[in-house]
Amino acid sequence: MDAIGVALLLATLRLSVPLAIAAMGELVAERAGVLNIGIEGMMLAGAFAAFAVGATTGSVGLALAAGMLAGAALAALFALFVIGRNSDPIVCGMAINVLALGVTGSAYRVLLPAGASTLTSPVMPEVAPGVNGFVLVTALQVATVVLFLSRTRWGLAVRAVGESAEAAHAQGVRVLRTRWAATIFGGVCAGLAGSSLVLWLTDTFVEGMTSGRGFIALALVLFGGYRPGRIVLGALLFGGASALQFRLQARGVEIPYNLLLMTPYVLTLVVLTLFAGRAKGPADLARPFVARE
Amino acid sequence: MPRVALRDIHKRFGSTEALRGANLELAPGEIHAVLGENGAGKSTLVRALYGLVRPDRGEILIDGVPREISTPRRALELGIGLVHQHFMLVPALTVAENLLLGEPLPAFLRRAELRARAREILELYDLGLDPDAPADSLAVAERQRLEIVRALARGVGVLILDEPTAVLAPSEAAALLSLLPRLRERGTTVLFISHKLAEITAVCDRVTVLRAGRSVATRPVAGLAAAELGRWMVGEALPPPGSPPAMAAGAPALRLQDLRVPGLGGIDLELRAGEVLAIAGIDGNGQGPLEEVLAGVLPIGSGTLEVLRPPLAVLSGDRQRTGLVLDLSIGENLALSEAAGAGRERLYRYGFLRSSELQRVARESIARFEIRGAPDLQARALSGGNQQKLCVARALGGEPRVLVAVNPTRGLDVAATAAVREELRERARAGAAVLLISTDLDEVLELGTRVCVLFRGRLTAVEPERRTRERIGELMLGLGGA
Ligand SMILES: Nc1ncnc2c1ncn2[C@@H]1O[C@H](COP(=O)(O)OP(=O)(O)OP(=O)(O)O)[C@@H](O)[C@H]1O
Ligand SMILES: [Mg+2]
Repeated sequence: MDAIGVALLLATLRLSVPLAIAAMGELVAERAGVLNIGIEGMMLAGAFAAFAVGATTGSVGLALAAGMLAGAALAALFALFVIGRNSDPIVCGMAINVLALGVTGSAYRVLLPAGASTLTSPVMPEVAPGVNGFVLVTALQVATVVLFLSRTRWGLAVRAVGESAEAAHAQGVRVLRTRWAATIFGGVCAGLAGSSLVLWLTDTFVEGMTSGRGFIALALVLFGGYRPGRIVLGALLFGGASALQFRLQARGVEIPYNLLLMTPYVLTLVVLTLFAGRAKGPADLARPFVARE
Repeated sequence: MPRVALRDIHKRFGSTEALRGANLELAPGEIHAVLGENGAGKSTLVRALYGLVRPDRGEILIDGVPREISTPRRALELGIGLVHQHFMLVPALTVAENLLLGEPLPAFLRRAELRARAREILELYDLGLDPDAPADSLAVAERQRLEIVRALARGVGVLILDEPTAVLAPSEAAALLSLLPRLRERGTTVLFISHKLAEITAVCDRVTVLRAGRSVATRPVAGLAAAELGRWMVGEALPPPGSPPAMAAGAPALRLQDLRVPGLGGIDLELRAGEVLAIAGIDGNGQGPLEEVLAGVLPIGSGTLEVLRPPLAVLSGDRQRTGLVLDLSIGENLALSEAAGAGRERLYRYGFLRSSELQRVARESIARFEIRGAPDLQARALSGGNQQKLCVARALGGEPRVLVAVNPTRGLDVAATAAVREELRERARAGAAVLLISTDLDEVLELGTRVCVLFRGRLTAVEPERRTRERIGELMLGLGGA
């Protein structure tokens, strides 16, 4: 492979990894019946926390931990309302997104007053030549989720609760606990995905830097038909198309740039809809559950 | 000391008082029946015992100890199991997964192991289901049997069965009933809810009658005749069973010629105005596809289906899945009627739904079919039998000239069953053509001008001179060689 090809592949991975991690987390939450629209905000919170801790301590490990913790904290807030009080998940999710955007923006300005020299975070090291740590993390995460959902007792509970909370409850499955755990897991993954934006894609934080990646991850879950393989494929497709598009733009190809910007979205949408078939989402997705009348 | 005691249980849902002082005591190792009209509060009472309903007042004692049962998990820990009146499987999971859900399982599941365990349980109870089939591919009766087996496999000490036989064919019901005394020998206490009086007199030790949320009395069953039981429950003597509409040579109303769809192999049938053609058979022999193809849900594979005297209405055999939209109100469910009868034009003006008219139609149906609920009540909040009445009301509301009725009295109490059967006979006498698809032999014999049997997707006519329970029963099991 020539240099351009290698560069393109690397860029593809860098752009796909955050999407794949976030989408796999969202998959688990949705399989449990929780529609978490707030992953955009949870990613952003994760990105900021990773940046702040990374830049001040210089430790990648601490930065990662902080990113995941921030995602988990927002997920807990979301769960408190959506699972604990049966509030509307769309409203709560959007509230989380707005909250995260506002809080990270202000906190960034506190951390880095105007005029101060820029702070940079450390970068995730490579585990093998050319293989960034995040690639390994993603591979592990995807494999774990796949095995978890199909081959463990808890995965069975997650699926049962998302398909029919009432029937699962009647068999003694702890519906609320299962949903809480799945939501927190989704939040941790979103935080991790956000951290990767800081620790790999860039080495700094920018206000609103997730720029819709959380929503793309949500769409990938849906258009990937809730199947892990297709979701990862969708993430790679989107990442690849984005990488190619950046390169073409940099080359100054004679295509209007807004058309280029559109291609990853259109391509991913078309491919996934063509191949996703008629997969059905969890039947009890986003439906409130009352344990005892 | 009673194994289970429910004392003075009260429960109110909004403006409905479902329970107003219900008492129930189960002696160790007895089979105890609970009997009562539709909406009397039977399901609510057992749901309270299983941790699904929080009583407003009253106490629950298990082996003499007052217990707060807040979840089904707690109930199961206390050795109480419930087979629900309605579908309580996770539709998208497989038979094996449903069977083992909630059981102590190893952290890591191996497919083969799960399948083997499931197969073992299924074989133990003689249930020939594929462990890998998704639960929603099962026929109604198969689902019910799966749920019963699941509860038995849990080995609970107190087993509650909420109308377990409502969807079973006579042979299956008999098998279940014969199982109960064996459970009793093992020391299991059984609470058995049924509207079929003969079942209660056949296997139960004692019976408690519930009327409008209150327990009226508990009596030993020995020496009690079914008719007596019925009189006691309703407060008056039951009407004698009616006889089917006489053979009438009306005009053809519905004709199927060599109709084939998956599950049905070449159905020929001509239904005439003024008759009830009754199709008997055990659920899962093609009833589902036949209903669906008549309802227009399933495309015709080959052959023809002609409705010669429209409109046609279908009374669905699965009230919760295809019969009702459970989240809509009684009125809205009535307005969904597909039969473009007189009612429909009245309900809409310039394409807009007229809510005053909707209310009026709903109140009319509620009064006529004695549905226990207000027009605005969600269908989900109705008792099982009242949901069934709502289905009947809607199917009959559009004045259909061809009526396909699938198990129309499933889950209805004795009086309501008699009323609905009489209504169907009345419709036929008035010139409608009725196709009755039923697993209930009494119903088939009481209503059918002609009787057929559906077995493995094929229809066999029952010779008029051999129209007996035995003959039909044979054909239902595929034993009717000659
Ligand atoms: N969740 C609910 N919300 C409102 N009303 C309810 C609810 N559950 C039950 N009810 C009402 O309580 C009453 C008793 O219902 P229940 O289901 O216990 O009757 P049932 O004796 O089991 O009748 P059936 O023989 O028809 O099954 C009914 O009037 C029903 O409409
Ligand atoms: Mg009931």
